[in-house]
Amino acid sequence: MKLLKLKRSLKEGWTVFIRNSWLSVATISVLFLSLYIVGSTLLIGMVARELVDNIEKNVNISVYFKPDVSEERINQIKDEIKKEGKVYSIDYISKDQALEKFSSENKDDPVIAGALKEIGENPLLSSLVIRANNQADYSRLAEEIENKYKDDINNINYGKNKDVIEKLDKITSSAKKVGLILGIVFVAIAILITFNTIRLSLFVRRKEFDIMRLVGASNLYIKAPSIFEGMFYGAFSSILAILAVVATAYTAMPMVIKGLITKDQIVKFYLNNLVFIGGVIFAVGLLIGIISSMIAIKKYLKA
Amino acid sequence: MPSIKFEKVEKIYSDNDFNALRNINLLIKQGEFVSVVGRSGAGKTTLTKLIYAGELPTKGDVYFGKKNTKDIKRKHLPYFRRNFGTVFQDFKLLPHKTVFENVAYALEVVGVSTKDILKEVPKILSMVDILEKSEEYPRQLSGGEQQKTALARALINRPKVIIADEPTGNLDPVSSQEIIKLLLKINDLGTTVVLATHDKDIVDKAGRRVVTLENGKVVSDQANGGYVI
Repeated sequence: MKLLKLKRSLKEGWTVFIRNSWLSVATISVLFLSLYIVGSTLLIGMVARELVDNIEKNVNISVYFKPDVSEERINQIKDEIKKEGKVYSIDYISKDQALEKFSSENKDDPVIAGALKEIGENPLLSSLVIRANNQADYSRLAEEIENKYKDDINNINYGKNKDVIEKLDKITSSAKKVGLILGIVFVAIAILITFNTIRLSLFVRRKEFDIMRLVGASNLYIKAPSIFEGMFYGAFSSILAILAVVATAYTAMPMVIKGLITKDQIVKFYLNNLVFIGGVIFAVGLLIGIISSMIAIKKYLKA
Repeated sequence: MPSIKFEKVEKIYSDNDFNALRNINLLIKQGEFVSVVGRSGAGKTTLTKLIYAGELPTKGDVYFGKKNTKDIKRKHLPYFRRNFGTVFQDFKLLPHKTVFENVAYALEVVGVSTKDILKEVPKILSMVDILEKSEEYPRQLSGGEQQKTALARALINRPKVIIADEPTGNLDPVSSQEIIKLLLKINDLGTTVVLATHDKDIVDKAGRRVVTLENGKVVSDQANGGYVI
């Protein structure tokens, strides 16, 4: 019998949801917009963090050697640096490998291809690409290498990235704070508006609750359909919001972050994280719908 | 069989200090048909509400069988209400439900199986002669048809008492007669009927016990009465 009542409540909630279509549309629109804003804030925050991680991962010290330094000498230097223990990885890139990479990266650019042909010989330098274990070690490590192997080194490439990284760090940490505050504000607004819309929808039907009680319906039996109704509001708006966030992720977002990250990387990131974002939106949507209904109906079920 | 008993009942509405009922002593036996008459404001509605614990007496006691309405816990109220079928001047139908669904709702809340609902509802709808309108919504019906629907809903659970508060107040004379006929028929089947009204014609037509209220007091109680005011 409990199951029967549950089934009936669910059906009743659905019927009210469909037959009060105007109010349902209004409630869903409001909740959808709020959830979309919350979802996009989350998306932007996560993409920003991914970008910073990605750039930080690409931070390295590139040590370019003078053309006359032999491969043996470079390997010797490599081993010496490795022994210091601060490095995470150290890779030797010969001038041939460098040329190959450079040509393949620019194969679509006829000017560069032409220029390479013009020069005839390989103009690039052999290098060591060093990644440190610790972000903080980079500047000291670069300095040490520069001093120790002054005679062999043509140039060392580190300073260029340093400013960018520090700036990005600052931006993301403040963006995180702003995003968090915005997120909380929008969730609060979403709850308030949804709560009020649901309350309005219940207010319109307040006389029906009296009738139901008169006919012998228990409070729970009156309440349950409204709670399911709230659940439907939550479910439908969060599904819409998820679709909208995914659409944003695949259309607007790539335009904004163009050049900062490759397309493959962003797609992989989405595959890993959109489910999480979707889950958060769905959970928040359902909770807002159900809780708003529960609070709102309480008012109309006194005595 | 539960009877309805009023003992020295006084009702004062606290929000406006209105003394709606004064020293009411009344016994309504199971199976009786009682018309409660009086002018507007005489206390008819209050008297009916006290029966199904829609209001509680300020002083005195109202019993349904052995149960004092004062002792009913709020959460048990819906179950207590199932003893009564109620019909009102404004019908009180659920606007978003069809005739069938309105009547079925009263069965759903008590947990009757869908199979039985499909069997019982058409029966009662044909008894009050509204079966052909079962898929229509209240707004598509005439007043008389809405009241028949309300009556069908009141009857579906086979209540011990039907309480009808001005059931004909919004109806034309012909529809009014139909409703009263139905109430008499229901009463013949053993259900107590308490009918509050100020419609002289229908009281005379019923020709049963008449309790007359004036300024919250019973001024006459006749076993086979007419409308005296």
